[in-house]
Amino acid sequence: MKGRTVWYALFVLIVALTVGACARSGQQAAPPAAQPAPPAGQPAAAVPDLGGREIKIGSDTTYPPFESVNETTKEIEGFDIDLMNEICKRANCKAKFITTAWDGIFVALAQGQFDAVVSGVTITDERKKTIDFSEAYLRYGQVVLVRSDESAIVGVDSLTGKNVGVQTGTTNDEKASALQKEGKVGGIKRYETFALAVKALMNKDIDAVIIDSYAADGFMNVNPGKLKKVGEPFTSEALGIALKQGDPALKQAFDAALQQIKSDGTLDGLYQEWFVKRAPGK
Amino acid sequence: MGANAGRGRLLPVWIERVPWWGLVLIILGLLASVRIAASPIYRHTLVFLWDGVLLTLHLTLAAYTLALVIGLVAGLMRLSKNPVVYTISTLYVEVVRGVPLLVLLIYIAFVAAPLISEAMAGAARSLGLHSLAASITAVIRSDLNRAIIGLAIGYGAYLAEIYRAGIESIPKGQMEAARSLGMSYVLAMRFIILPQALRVVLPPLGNDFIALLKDSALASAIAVPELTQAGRLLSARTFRAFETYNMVALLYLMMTLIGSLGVRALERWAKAGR
Repeated sequence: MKGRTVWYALFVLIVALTVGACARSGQQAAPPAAQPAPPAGQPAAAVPDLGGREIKIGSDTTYPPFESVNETTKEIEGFDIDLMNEICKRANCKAKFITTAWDGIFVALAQGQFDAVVSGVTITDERKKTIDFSEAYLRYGQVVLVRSDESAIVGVDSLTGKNVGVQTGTTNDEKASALQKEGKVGGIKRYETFALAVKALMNKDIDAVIIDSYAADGFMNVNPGKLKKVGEPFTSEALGIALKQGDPALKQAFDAALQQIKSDGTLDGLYQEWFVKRAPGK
Repeated sequence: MGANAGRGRLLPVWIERVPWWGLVLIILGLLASVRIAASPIYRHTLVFLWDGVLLTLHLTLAAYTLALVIGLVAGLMRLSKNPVVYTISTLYVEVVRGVPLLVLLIYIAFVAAPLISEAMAGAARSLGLHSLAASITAVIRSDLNRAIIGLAIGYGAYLAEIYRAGIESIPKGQMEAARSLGMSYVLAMRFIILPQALRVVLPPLGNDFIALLKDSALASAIAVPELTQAGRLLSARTFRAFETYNMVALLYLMMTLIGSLGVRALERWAKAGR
């Protein structure tokens, strides 16, 4: 008993010292100085060669049609995957997608666990403080997703007093929180993935899901006849490739490759493939 | 004490008696509060997380109380000589112990609760049990209640085994003596066996309370905005994972340490009667 007390005290002391040390190092760890922005990619500029470099890409692969795991092949597939493969074809790199949880994905990126995060990431000023972004590759708006038999909710303005589901820490979560502050949303339920939020919607646990328009289409395809979008998109945002700060070579190569993909029609092709051909009801 | 009497002592008795670990904790706590009071970031973090702390306590206390009842019933059933009763309780304990708590919670929230809601709607239509069906549906509609039920079912299985072991640790002669004095099985269990078994099971029951408090973090997966989810939300919004999770860990640690102080007090109380 007595011997154990001493060990207990020792353990607590070690914890105390560790916490103290961490707290100090935390103060010192100022965010690295922002890299000078590389010159904007000129049209038809040559894409820098990354020399076959393997790019580790973190992605929350529960987000069709951007990225999801194919039921039969168990491979990760989607618009983002095809896009990265096109980029790497031009910049001579190898895209390696790693499935990870959305929660903490940017912290992992900032700490260097990945070289990039491609997961339908919205470019925001808040995020730009800790991570870099490539040029935008897709514009979209947020929409309201409801069960197909819903009649009371016809758009974002009819959510007063309703329970809304989102994925924790997304821009949709931020938008829902802002709407709640204005009294335009009843309650917010936060799920680890949009897949769970949509499941809760179909289980009637919540009344609506606030989600990016293309992802709404994706979930409508996965659950045919059970869901519908209501109202017009009520935000205008852009998706980009999130990059670790301080890797100008990667940003230059990705931006130049994106320029090329946009100007030669490849991006349009991918768009047709993933968002038009597979639009709900087709 | 007695066991240590023959051992050569390195330090005077009074030094060993001082609860040094408690002193270290108090000093640590003071240092932490100074840091929190001095830093606006930590202050803001604490304010943001506070509702989560309250919800974690609510969730833990409610789930533990329910688990104590479920555990006692299942534990007594495990001791039953009736094969049906024994089989039902053993099935419950083995199934629940064999499934990760996280899976159990997700299962209850996304599979079982919706199915039960549907079944209740059916019962209201065909059997006319409108008020009962409505109240059950209302209870399992809330995510918090689903988390409470899930954690209670999970921990009920662990507690059942603790109760069973505690009751089995009381010598058979006690029950036999009570029965020979004319007490019924229920009476003997209530007044002879359970009071003695309670002493044995108190420390492990206390440990499971602390374990349940920590496992309540799993409820964040089923949309309950308890402490862990509040932390995730804050770190996603502010990108200050460092301060946020420091504070989350500190708050959990404070709750569990207060809990373990309580468990130590219980242990002392249980030993005192020996």
